[in-house]
Amino acid sequence: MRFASKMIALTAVLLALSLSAGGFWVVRSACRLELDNTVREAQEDMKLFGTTLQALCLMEDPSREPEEAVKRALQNGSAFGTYQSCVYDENGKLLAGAGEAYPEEQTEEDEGVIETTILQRGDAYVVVSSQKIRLMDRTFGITRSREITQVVRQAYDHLRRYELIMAGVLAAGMALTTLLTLWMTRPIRGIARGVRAFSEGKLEERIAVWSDDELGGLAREFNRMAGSLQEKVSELEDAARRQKDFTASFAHELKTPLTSVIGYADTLRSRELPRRQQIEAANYIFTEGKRLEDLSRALLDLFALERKAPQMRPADARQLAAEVEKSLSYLLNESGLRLVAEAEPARMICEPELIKVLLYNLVDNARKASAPGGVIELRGVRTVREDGTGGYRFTVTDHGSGIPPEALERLTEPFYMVDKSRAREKGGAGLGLTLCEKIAEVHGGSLTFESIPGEGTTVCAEIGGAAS
Amino acid sequence: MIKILIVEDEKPIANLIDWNLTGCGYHCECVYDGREAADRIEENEYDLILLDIMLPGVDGFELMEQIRPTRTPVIFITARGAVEDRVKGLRAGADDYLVKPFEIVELTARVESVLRRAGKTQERYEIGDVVIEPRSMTVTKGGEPVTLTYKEYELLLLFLRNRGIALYRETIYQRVWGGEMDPDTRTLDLHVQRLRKKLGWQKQLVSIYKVGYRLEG
Repeated sequence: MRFASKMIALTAVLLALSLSAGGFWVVRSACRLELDNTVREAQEDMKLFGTTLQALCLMEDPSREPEEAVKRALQNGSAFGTYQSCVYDENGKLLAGAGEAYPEEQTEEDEGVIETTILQRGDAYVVVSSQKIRLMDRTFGITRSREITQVVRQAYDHLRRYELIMAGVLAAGMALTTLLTLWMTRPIRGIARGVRAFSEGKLEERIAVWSDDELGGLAREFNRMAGSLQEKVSELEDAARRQKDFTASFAHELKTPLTSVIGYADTLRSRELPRRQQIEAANYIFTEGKRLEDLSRALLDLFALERKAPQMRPADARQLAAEVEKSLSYLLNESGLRLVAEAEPARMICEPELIKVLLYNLVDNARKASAPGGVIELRGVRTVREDGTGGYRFTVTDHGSGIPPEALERLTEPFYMVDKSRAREKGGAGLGLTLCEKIAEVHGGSLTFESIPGEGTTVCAEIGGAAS
Repeated sequence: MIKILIVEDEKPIANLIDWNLTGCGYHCECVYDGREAADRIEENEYDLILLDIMLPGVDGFELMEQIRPTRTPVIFITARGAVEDRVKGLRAGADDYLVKPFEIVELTARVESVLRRAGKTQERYEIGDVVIEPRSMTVTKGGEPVTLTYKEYELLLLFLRNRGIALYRETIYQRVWGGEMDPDTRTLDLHVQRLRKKLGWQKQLVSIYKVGYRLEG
């Protein structure tokens, strides 16, 4: 049963019970009062009639037959009231009377006690009173009756009218309750609809909030939950997609050099090759084997970074930049490039080896992008971070080939290479910037890129934990 | 001569395929990116295209759209070996699939089988006075028909398709006997001896110590 139907049924039952119980009591007491009055009236009339009869008998001649005297008195007193009277002897035999006699209604009680009953005769109702009375030294029974059909009918009419009114009130009440309940449970149905849609996978589905009451609150809470769930799901989907992309790229990067190594080795062992081709094949095996080695080293660095926390200790920023400059000087000289390194001195809490790898990679990337004769700038400045703590920013700027805008946001994706064939020639597995970003992240920082194709690139590495 | 286009952005791999197919008597051309491949396909007609899927510029699936109307057979070369990738490749209209890394014998076998299905296989092989016509499965020596068992014929075809290549015992067992034979048994040697005798190939079928056999000539 639906909640709305339950509420309607419950309210209707309560309404009906209280209305009928209350109404029944009121109407019944009204009817009872009316009949009670009739009975009392009949008794009082009987009392009066008894006294009148005795008085009339006193005026009769005492020598006469008592029965005759009583008959006469009865005749004289018949005009009294709206009742019809009968007189019976000691044995209950009807002596005289007007209208219908009710000998079976004669009382067994002592003299002076009046007994009154209401009888139904077909469609008619009659009130009958009876008593024993002492007349002319004998005991007679009297009954007096009156038709009260009108009075009883009226009482029944009241009852019927009450029933009609009650039915009307009940119907109206039920209609009103139905409307009210439907109106009240509308938010619940809305919530149910929203929840169903959500569970069917329509994660963007939300519940329209109408009210400030508990249900409105529930809807709002649900929406909040749906929002955060949707966010989590899309995060998970992103992670799964990245994982899938990573696996696919990794398989490609692994299998490509393997194909050369296996293929050339297979060719060497199966074919009689001229000496020149033999050397060429061996060289391919060597260089592609080296490529595999680079790949495995970069991957191991990356995995190590993800697995264990860096060993943080204080180091001097200027010192780090100088060390990187020194270790790259040979390569830079060979490429005909000049490195300008200007770093503000600062005490940084970091893992110095990782920061050096970061700077080395960024400068080496700049080297690969630059034409001979160019200048690469490595700068370092102290910064104040959003939370008020000290930070440090390294920027590496080159004036080389630049990066197309559509490639900028993919730079840190594993195995992404802007120009694959160029990257291959200069050696690289497409993991350098992925590693750099990870290093920046474990130091509470980030990596940002700005580039104009043809003019050069600036990479900015923000790092936390610096003090002057 | 059968013309094969090799589309592969990894120069070492393109070169590797080129060497080996050229060694089998095919004429090969190499291109290293999708756009250039599209130009070549438009300008020339090839008997077979070996196509890498992950290409810079235009990728393998896009190139497929261009190749399909020409009805040139295509073998996809890819590092993605998952079943759904293969199905996707075959749906796109590839005739076969070569998953990196691959062995040379696998490469030549797939090339040969795709060419055969496309009806572009070499009509006949001639070595000395021995003539083999795969279409009609006939072998003649000096004009006289030579009777071979099925396995002897299969073995002969394997040697013919890999002329100048040393075939390792395990490779031969895998290709001819479906790998169900123990490589140490004498079955292979007995078959080779019978081929030598029936075709007079004592010199051409060279046995390589501890490796296998090679057909020269």
